[in-house]
Amino acid sequence: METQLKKGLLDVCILAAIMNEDSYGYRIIETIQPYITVSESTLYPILRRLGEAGLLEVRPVEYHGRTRKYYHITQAGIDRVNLFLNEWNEVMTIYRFVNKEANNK
Amino acid sequence: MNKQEFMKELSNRLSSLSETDKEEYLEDYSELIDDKLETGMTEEEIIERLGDIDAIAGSILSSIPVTIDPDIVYTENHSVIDCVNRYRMEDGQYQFTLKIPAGTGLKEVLIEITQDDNGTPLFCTNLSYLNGSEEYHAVIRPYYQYNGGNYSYQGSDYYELITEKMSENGIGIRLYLTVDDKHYMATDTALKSTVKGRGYWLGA
Repeated sequence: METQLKKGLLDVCILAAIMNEDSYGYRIIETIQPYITVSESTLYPILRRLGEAGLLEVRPVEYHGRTRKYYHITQAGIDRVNLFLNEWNEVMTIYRFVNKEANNK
Repeated sequence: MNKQEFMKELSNRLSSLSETDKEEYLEDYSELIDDKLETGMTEEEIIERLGDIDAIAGSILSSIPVTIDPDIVYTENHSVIDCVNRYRMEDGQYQFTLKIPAGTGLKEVLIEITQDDNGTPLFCTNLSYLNGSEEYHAVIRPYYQYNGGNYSYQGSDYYELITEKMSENGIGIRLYLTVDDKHYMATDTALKSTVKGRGYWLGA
């Protein structure tokens, strides 16, 4: 997939993965892996960037005698996902047009 | 490699980060390895599947913005640092070949990508950060020169930089280098530029 497109999609996939329930690094990867390829070394810098942008918050939780960082989506993060969904309607319209023309060729 | 060795190796590679940033990334990897251990994998298996540690460090380092220190005076010098080759590829990406001195004393090479031919910066990164990383705007690899049907390795002082498609208009680079506590910069002499010059510019 084209790199710029993938970058934008990764952001919303990660936000979607914490939308219904706070989650942590390993589980986020497991959640989105069936849909988009992401390595750990890509995930953590993105989580950091999304946190700095105010789209998510980090909540450390004690677990089995160690600390796990749970990521919690903020209202700004929810807005970002909804913006993506709205934009994607337009993209789907374009997709259907391109697909129709390609199939009629 | 076990967890302890991995954490030590990663820590060494992240030494240029602030203590806070470094600690946070080390915590992330410690947590990740602990979480994977609970799935029944061994430390060695987990670390092997994490992949090349240089690539991991490169990905983390390149995600942190690098800035050119305005208090440092960089002297223009094309014999120590040079952009020997540059062209636009068919798919719209841009390729630069950089010549950078190998050997001791070399401390830092910064590459600033510019978005127009006035030299307006787009992003800046450290050369060592680009190797194998994913969160970046360019890839860099050793340069092989095509000559009489063969590709010959030009030595460790040559690098090939390939950018993503980032600009409709073109792309430029400026090179900053610190060697033996002296600071050099390479830009485009053909345009009689100064140290704060346009950089190597490639139009679309």
